[in-house]
Amino acid sequence: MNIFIQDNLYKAHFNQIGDSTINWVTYDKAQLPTELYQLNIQSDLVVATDEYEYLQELKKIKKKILVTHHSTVSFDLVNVGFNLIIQESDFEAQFVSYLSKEDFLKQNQIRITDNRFLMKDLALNEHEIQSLKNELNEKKEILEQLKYEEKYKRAREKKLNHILDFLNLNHGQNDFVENLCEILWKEVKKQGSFLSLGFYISVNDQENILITYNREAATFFYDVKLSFDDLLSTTKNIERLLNRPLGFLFSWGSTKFQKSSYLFLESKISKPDLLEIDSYFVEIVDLVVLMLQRFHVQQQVNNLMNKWNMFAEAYSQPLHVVDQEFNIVKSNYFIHENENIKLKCYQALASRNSPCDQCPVLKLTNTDQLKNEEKTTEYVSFLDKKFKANAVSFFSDKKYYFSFYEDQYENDQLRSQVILNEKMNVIGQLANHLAHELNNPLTGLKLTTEYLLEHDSVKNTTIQSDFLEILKGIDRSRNIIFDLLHFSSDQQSQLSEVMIEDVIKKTLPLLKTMTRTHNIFLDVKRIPVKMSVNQVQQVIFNLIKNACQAMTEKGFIKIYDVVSAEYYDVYFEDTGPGIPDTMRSQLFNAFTTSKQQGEGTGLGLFLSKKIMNRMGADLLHDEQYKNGARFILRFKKS
Amino acid sequence: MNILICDDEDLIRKSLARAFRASGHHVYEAENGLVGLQLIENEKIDLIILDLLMPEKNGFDVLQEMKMIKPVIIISAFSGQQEGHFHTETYPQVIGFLKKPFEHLNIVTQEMVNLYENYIRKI
Repeated sequence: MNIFIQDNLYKAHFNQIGDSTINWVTYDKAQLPTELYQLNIQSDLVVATDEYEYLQELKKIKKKILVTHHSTVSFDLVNVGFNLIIQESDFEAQFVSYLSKEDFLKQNQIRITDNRFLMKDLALNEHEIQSLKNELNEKKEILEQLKYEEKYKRAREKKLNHILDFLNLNHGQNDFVENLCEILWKEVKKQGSFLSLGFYISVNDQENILITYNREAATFFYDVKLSFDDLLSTTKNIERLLNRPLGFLFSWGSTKFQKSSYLFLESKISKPDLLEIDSYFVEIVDLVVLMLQRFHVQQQVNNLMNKWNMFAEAYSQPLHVVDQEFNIVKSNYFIHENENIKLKCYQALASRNSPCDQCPVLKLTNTDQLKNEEKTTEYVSFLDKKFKANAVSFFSDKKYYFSFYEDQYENDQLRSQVILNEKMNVIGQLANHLAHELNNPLTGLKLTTEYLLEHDSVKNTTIQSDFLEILKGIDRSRNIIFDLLHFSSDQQSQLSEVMIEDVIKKTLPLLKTMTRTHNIFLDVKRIPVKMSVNQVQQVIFNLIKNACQAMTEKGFIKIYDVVSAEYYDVYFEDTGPGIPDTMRSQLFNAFTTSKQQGEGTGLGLFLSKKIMNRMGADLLHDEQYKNGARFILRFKKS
Repeated sequence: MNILICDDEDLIRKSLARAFRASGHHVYEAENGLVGLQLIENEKIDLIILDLLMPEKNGFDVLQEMKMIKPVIIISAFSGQQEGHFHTETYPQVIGFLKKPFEHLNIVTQEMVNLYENYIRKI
């Protein structure tokens, strides 16, 4: 026998009720009736005061008593249909009489103890059976629910494990991002129609990466500033980057590692079913973001390493990083085959057993140990070469030294080359000026001398030969000036595609008198080459003229071509004495000549090389050729 | 034929003048452009042989300022490539351009006479 009674009533009147067959269930005036039912106790009678907030709900209850301290009751309450309305002052007497009238106080009903389900009596009424059945059904439902949840949880765990395994195994690989996107996409695809997924990763305050995946490939955007707090403007920004309209964006932010890193989905529809994806993404977003950050950093490190390697490879002189014991950590001249073998820089580079005398690293180690990034330059000698050695110290896990060497000999050569060029420029300008200035008086001298030679008083006398000598001198000066003028003129001529054969054949008639005593073999292919015809003609003229002048006896001039992958070479060989060893190094310098004074100006080869260089080609002397002289006209293949 | 030789280089001017005189021509000599212009104005001249770089007035000034249009042969120490800068359209009176230094005195005087005769024949 269950009687529900509002607790304040119970406290006021029934601290202890005599009849133990009644099970008193107290409730708070603010308790919902549904909550009351949830106690799974069938109420036989509900006693409520008019303070009870859900009086209207009691309509459904069969037996109920209202206790009020008001003299009258409102119509609303009457409408609820109470079996009895009692004035509070008269509560006890009226209530007890009601209970006895309704047989509540008879001791023949079930007795409910602490265990509500333990039935002492067989006299179960229908109510009780029904309530137990209901209870059973509810339990069953709960069990089913739990089972389903368990299954779901396991599936989710499997999914998570899958991605965790993937992240662990693949984060070092180049196609990591693509594979990650693919795996996530497989999950997303199951849940509805989505268009793309992507990540927005903040590596640090300045560096951001946007990655979008469109089911085929991942696209990277660096240094994009996006705020996922405002999805609308973000959508617009991404639209601009991708150059296409976007669907509806949904994002999941990482909370653990980087506040402004997100995983996002693009959906076709505005309200997709995100329930499952949501729980999945919430769990993985932190990890994925962390892995992507790691991937990015790793890539950057790789890039830096590649850069270093390229740089080291490109530097033709030795450079290395050594630690304080001079062990090579990295170098561009020594390849570590075994990490464990430690080689000192002075062993590998200078074949010594102790550091070089003027080693810059040695200088740095002697200075303040704590100071970072110090540098110094020293001059060291090894392998019979003098080097300018530069060293910088830096600190990472310990102190290291980066040093690079510059070959002083090469430097000196370069410098003298620069000075020479500079010199030649000045001479060129001077020559141009001089040539013009000298031409005038020379012409006068020539004309006058020629006039005098015609004069009767000179004709057939000894003075005549003197005047002839003067005339020869004037002609020589004229030739020098002519060559100088050519040298100083920087005219750019049009390049055209011509067969070298045609150019040579056009040049040979000009040299008829010279080549008469020699044999010329010409064997070249008909390959069009880009050149300035007049200038190449001048060079060929020079080469053949030189060859003829070098060969004092009857000789051969061979002209043939060699085609290689990069170049088109035309060889000019003669059977003369070749270039003397003493002259080789300055062969192409100005004013170098082996000819008798008066025969050559020493500008021919110098100018020829200059002319060839100007059109992107070259003139070379083959030092290996011993049967005379061999010059090569080298054209780049177009 | 009356020839005006306008060149500041004495040796050139004199030797050319002597050569022309020897072959029977009448020669006026001018050591700069100013004298040259005066002679063109005052004397009856058939052919002008003109240097370009001269003191007082240079060859271009003479070409521009001469009132009587007479055939002109330019002699200049300008190197070959600069010949292109000389526009014959601007100076229609120029009938020839001879580079210094010359081949041979006799050859060059003959060449000048030839140029003049060709010019006359065309007219």
